[in-house]
Amino acid sequence: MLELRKVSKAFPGHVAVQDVSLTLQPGEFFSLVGPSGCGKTTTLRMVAGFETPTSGEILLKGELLNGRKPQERNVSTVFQNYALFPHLSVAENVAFGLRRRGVRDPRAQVAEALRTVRLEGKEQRLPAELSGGEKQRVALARSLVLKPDVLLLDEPLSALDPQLRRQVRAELKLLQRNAGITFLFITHDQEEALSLSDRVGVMNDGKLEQVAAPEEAYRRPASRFVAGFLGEVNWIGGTAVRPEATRISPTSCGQALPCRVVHTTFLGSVIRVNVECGECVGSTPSAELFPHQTGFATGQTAYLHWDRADELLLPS
Amino acid sequence: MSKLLGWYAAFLYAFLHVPLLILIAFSFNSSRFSVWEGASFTWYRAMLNDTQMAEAAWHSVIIAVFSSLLATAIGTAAAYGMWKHKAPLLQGSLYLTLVTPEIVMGISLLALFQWIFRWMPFRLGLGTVIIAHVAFSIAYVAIVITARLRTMDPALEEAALDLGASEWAAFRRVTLPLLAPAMGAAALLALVVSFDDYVITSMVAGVDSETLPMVIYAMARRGVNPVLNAVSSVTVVFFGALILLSERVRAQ
Amino acid sequence: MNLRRWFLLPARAMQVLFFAVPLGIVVVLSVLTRGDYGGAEQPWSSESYRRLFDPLYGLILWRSIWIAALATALCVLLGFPLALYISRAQKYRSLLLQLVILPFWTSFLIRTYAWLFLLRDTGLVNTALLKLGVIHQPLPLLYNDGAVLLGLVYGYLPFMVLPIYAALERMDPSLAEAAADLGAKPLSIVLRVIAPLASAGVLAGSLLVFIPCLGAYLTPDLMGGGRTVMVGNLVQNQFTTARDWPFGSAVSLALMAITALMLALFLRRAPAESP
Repeated sequence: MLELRKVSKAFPGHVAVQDVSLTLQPGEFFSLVGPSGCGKTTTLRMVAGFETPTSGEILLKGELLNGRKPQERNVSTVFQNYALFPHLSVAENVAFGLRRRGVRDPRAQVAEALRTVRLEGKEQRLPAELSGGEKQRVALARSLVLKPDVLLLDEPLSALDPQLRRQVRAELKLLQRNAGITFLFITHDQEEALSLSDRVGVMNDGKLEQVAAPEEAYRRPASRFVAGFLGEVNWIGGTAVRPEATRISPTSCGQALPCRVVHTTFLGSVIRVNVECGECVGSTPSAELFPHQTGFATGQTAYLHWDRADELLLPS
Repeated sequence: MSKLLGWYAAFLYAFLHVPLLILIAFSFNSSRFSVWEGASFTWYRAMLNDTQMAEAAWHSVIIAVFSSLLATAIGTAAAYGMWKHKAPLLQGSLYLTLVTPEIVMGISLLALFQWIFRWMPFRLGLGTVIIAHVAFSIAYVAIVITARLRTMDPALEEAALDLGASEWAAFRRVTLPLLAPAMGAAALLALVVSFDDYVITSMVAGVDSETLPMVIYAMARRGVNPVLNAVSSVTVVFFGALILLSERVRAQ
Repeated sequence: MNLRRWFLLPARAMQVLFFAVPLGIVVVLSVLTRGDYGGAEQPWSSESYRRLFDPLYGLILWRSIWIAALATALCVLLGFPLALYISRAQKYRSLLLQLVILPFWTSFLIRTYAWLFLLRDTGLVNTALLKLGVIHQPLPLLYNDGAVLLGLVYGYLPFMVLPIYAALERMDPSLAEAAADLGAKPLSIVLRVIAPLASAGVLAGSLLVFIPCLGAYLTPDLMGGGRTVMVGNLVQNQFTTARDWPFGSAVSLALMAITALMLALFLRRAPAESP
């Protein structure tokens, strides 16, 4: 559906995007995830047409998008702050794109779009009268009503408070499934990316470090960065293991690593135990216990062990 | 010390406003001397009977309306054009317009018109005054509109483009409606600045295109005339009301 | 984008036709000779510029700079406490500001006339003082440098108050409180803590007052009665009565040069500020 071929964007002073290549399948929920400044937003803007790639091609359904203005592309963007037109009602906002296409009477389509995002009854409201979640739904409806080939979402959940975010996440996923539209979703929140996407692309400093399904990227990260970004990592000597795969016991067994307990933290569903050991210079790896298991005291000697299968294989 | 400051502020406000209030008060004085001799509308009646003043006032209105409309259109377009893409030459030149002394602007325009009139069959008149007023008002309008544009989210126009609008449609249907209040304020500013102008107008007006300020100036030069008090009062009250009204509208 | 260029076109055309070209004509005029019937003609001559250095005209120039500087200084002295007062006001702040801005919306000509009405020999002030027996002859309150100063300060005070207010408003009030905490007296706090921080505002206001005062025409004309001649009057005179356009042009350019110099100095001091 959407293909990026070695797309780069250089600004005077720094390279925002470097040789990014990826292909989105029709109907896929794809997330580009990475820390602030990694180039994900710039990439999105290039697909939307607000930035021109310095090199590389962007193709939609096989057709070259380079050089086409934003209004000439069948992609639609949901902006981070929604960019709802403040002087137009909800209905007029949603109808905006349809009117530009010459649709004389957009009411039916507008009504259907609002039904999809569950905002029936709010047609005559102004954006200023809506809550954050409602505004986001209007933005979605406004874009979806045009039946774009790809929907671009620029951190649409970051302006919502955490409570609302979880709920909207689920709704968004359902919406995408039902509509069957390809989503390109930008976020800096790895939990969001992992929970929503069919595939994720992890970006760092302009480069795309890995493209894979969430579980694949989490279990078999392609680089130290991806490993550390998608979750927590215990760096023990030359080995990397996830904390949830790390066991801790008071007695040694087999190949267990001796260590000393530094800290225990009660997190509700689990207890995290931080240790220090000879091999783990500069970090305090953690193991996780369930509350019903025997606790550890600070300063106590303990033994870490894990399944070799759970080790993350990373290039050096 | 704040008590001292308070008294000082009151004194300064009095200094700023009392002279005008006295002027207005004495416009109702039945005598032409600075001694109060009873209230009367004599001078207002005289003012209304003064055909020269009426004609000059009419000229001022026409000039103010036309020049403010033109200046608002051109200034808004300029501010919008400079919004996302730098135009340093234009911006610098507009600032220069603001710091150039009025008398210099006046004589330079006079020099231009006299030079043009060597080849083209025109004379100094309402047209030249309107052109002059538009020339110096554009900068004021640009400042007001630029200030408003700074608070406008650029994502709004991007969203419009994204949804399929052309650049012109994005401007016309999204930005322009949102600029409307600021344009109103700018037009009002241009209107007032034009109506009040004396220096530049006096240089480029023709014999039969006198404006109200020119008449007021001539009368003031000759000496104090209570009719002037009446004219002043009417002008002050009219524009004061206009400004207050626009502030009311803007506050909504 | 193409649309932007179209939007900029009218303003650019106006600026070229009715600002740049006229000034260019003035430059050309300044190096021509005065015509017999006014206007200007060949031959080329630098006579006008030489006359600029004639002590008579030099005096006018210096007097203009002096009066403008004095008016600016007075505006700072009078305006700063008012700005301070408004910035400290708890309620009615917007009303207080509007009362300062209001004169700006009133015709400058009319406001100047108000002072003529008050100060002339048969004006209100003199009539009142005569009636009260304080004086036996009317005081010559008008048609001197002092009257011109009064007119200028009266006219441009709001332009000083507003930038200073803006600077004070941005200032962190806890700084003054901290100083008071450490035992400083109120006046000392103003002079040592507040004033320096508001200096950017004072600078901006000074520019907004000095430049118009330098090129002032109406005030010295009406309140100075032709006795106080400033550069603006000189220019106007050369283009009307005296009909010496080349010389008038040279004086205009000299005025603009000084204005530009002042601006450059200001921008050097405060590069981030814009009025």
